[in-house]
Amino acid sequence: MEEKEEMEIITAPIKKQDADSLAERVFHESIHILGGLKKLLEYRNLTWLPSLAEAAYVIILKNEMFKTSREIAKELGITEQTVKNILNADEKEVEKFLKGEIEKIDEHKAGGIAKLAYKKVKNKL
Amino acid sequence: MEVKKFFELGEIEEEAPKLFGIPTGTKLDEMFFKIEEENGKFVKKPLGGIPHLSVINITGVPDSGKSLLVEQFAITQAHNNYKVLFVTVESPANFLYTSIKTKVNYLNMNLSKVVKNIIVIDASVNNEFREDTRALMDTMAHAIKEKHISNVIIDSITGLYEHKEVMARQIVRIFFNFLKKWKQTGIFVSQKRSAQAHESAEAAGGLAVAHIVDGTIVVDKKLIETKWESNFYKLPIGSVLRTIRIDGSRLTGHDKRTWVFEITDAGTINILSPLEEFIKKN
Repeated sequence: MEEKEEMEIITAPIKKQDADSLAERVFHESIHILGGLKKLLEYRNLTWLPSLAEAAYVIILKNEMFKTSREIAKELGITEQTVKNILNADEKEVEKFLKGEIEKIDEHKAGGIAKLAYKKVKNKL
Repeated sequence: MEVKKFFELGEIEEEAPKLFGIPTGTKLDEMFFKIEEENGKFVKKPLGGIPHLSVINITGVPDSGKSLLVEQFAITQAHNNYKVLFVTVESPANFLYTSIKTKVNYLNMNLSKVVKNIIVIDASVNNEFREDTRALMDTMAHAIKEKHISNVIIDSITGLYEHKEVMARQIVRIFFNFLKKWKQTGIFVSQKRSAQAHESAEAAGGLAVAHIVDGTIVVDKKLIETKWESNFYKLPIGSVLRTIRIDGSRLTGHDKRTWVFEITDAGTINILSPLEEFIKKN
């Protein structure tokens, strides 16, 4: 196998508060995708919030801080498998599920929602 | 808990850094030395590199070989499996890559291994790195922590205060303290201004850099222009005599002579001999 000959280059400032604020924006956008906080309350789905917060951080740490699954798991105090489930979630399937087009999915729902939210946040930046 | 505000010197013995060299891949490694007792006598022993955890300043006129020297240091460290953080303020990262690749091939080293161990912050293009010291330090801290960096190069520190030289002392002090805090061996590259003596430790921002750092290395080049110079140095008119000198080091002893060096076709530094011997030999 050919060895990689790439040098890691950082081209923009990395600030801890950037990761935090981006994760918060993804979290808010995820709630928005679900129809807002009120709707979550009405449908008694507030228990989704911790999973959404977790998924938002996983997506940001992976895509903005370039961390490995292992590093993310360690930083957030979750299992590596959970990180992988979030990162591998098929957002299109989750979107169909949210629209009621399919009844049941095996994907990590919060992961899929956070991925959709991340795309929207990035488009707004 | 009350924070201790002063110490007896003996109390910080365990925190004192061990004295050993961090190889540069040049003869500079033999030019820093330490004194050790051997059979009741004190003997000079080469340190094997620039002092561990020191912050060294390299200054010189344009195109005198400063960047080539720090690139060689980076390559040597990366080849030895130590991680290097290279903050490039002058040359964009893709040009740095080409320069490193050429040297690595010339030195018959493993390119994959070397580039894997060099993390680059490209401050040449992104204005925010140069203008916002805090943003640059946050990014450096992130890289040091996440990538287990042991050596930091800033080429050049002058680029961080180019249009505000009045800030030189403050900026150099901040980065010096930053490297000490993160236990890094560091090299700053400093430009010289036209009015400054070529062979002195003075650099942009005056003597601020030299006063703050642990040691200064001065690289210089002299164009052989007159018949007298040609006869004296035994070099043809129009040729260039390159010299390097350790101006000072507060952590260890060092060779105080001016040495002659050449830049090979691949851009590596080859320190030849002390100037006095070079003249005698020629």
